[in-house]
Amino acid sequence: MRRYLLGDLPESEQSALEEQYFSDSVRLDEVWAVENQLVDDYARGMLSRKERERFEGHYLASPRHRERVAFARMLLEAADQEPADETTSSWRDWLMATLRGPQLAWGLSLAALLLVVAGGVWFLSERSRLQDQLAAMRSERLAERAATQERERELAEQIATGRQRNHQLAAELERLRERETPRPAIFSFLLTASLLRGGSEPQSMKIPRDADHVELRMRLEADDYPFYQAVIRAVDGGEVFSQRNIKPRASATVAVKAPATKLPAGDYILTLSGVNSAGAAEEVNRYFFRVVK
Amino acid sequence: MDGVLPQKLKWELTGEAFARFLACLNKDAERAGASYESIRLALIKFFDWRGALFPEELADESLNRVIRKIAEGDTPRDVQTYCHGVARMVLLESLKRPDIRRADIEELDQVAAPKPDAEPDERLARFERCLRELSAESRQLILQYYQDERRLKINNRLSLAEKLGIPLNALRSRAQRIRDKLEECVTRRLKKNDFRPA
Repeated sequence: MRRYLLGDLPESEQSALEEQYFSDSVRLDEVWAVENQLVDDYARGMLSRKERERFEGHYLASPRHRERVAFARMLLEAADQEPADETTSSWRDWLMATLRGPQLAWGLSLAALLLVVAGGVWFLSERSRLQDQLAAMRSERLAERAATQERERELAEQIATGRQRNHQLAAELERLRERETPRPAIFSFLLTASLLRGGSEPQSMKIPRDADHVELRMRLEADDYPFYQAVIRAVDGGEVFSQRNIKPRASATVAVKAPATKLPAGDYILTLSGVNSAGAAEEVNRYFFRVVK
Repeated sequence: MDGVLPQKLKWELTGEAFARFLACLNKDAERAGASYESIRLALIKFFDWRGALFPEELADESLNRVIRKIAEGDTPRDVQTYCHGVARMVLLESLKRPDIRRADIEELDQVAAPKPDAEPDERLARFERCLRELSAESRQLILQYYQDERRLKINNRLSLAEKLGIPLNALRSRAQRIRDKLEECVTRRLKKNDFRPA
């Protein structure tokens, strides 16, 4: 719009703007306001060099426009002399008024001083506020850290107590298990072959009531076989127990372990046979014994 | 510029033709009247901004031609655009004619309308008289509206608009019309060489 008023627009653009303000009174008012602003800016010496040259070369070619500039000068001077409306003026208006006129240097100095003082006060106050804020944050962080450490310590104690309790319980459980689990009771007895061959009384054995098994041990006169087998028969009956693949012990003995229940009170004959490498069994000895309960 | 228009374009405006023109603008008489004023103002500003010496005269000539065309049976779709087209023709015609009256007015300028810096006291006396003739409200408004500079001026205008309870656009429009009225008053008194103090 300023270019239009300064005659700086191409004809097509001028015409487009004119069509707008012919159709729209608001647009007309806008162009008119720009014209007044342009004139006022010129009157106040606020135009750029380029605009001022254009203004003087084009706009002021019209005597009517020159009159308008003269009128603007008077209007602006009258307006500037008019005291500001107290109800509408602000501290900025007051500051601007202070800065106007011959007291400009004093006004600028005062404004600069005010700015420095205000800036300093603001800076100190802001610094103090930030320091307080930082201290509060540090204090909060320390408290949080202490609380966390306390909590960790409590948890560690709880874990240690738990572990100790677990150990105690495990030990207690083990003791209970040991107490509750009956150890197998084995009754051991050494048989001698001579008793049978001599025709005397059979050797007698009293098997305890709580015995589960009876271990019958026999001495070997010669350790000629890798394996042995034993068959126990009742004197007045048949076979009551047998055991194969018995390995001889280092002490030149063999042992047969039979359940105690298999040997009720009575007389028995144990036949021990050696098993050669070919798997054939050869009788080694017979043992006669009596069980009493 | 703005020489005497050719005789063939002279036409006597009749009441009937004007009524027909207004009817073209709006069926409502009041709105038609407002629309007419708006078109005339646009025409005046158009010629003024295009540098014409006598914008009002050329604006009226343009309106006469439009009214005449409508009276003769033309029915333009958009009267405003039509007026703009006619105004451009009138402007071109005025530019082509010998600048007889321009010479006259430039001479008059030296005599009846002194240059701004020639007689500032007399000019100022006329301005102050016209300012006093404004209503107190208008006077206060225009002086406050044009007070201060740059950003402070914007703040000042915002405060003024707020105080009057009107939008900024309405304030600007009101200030412009008061300014225009004041300027017309000063120009009129300059032409009459009337610089009596109020």
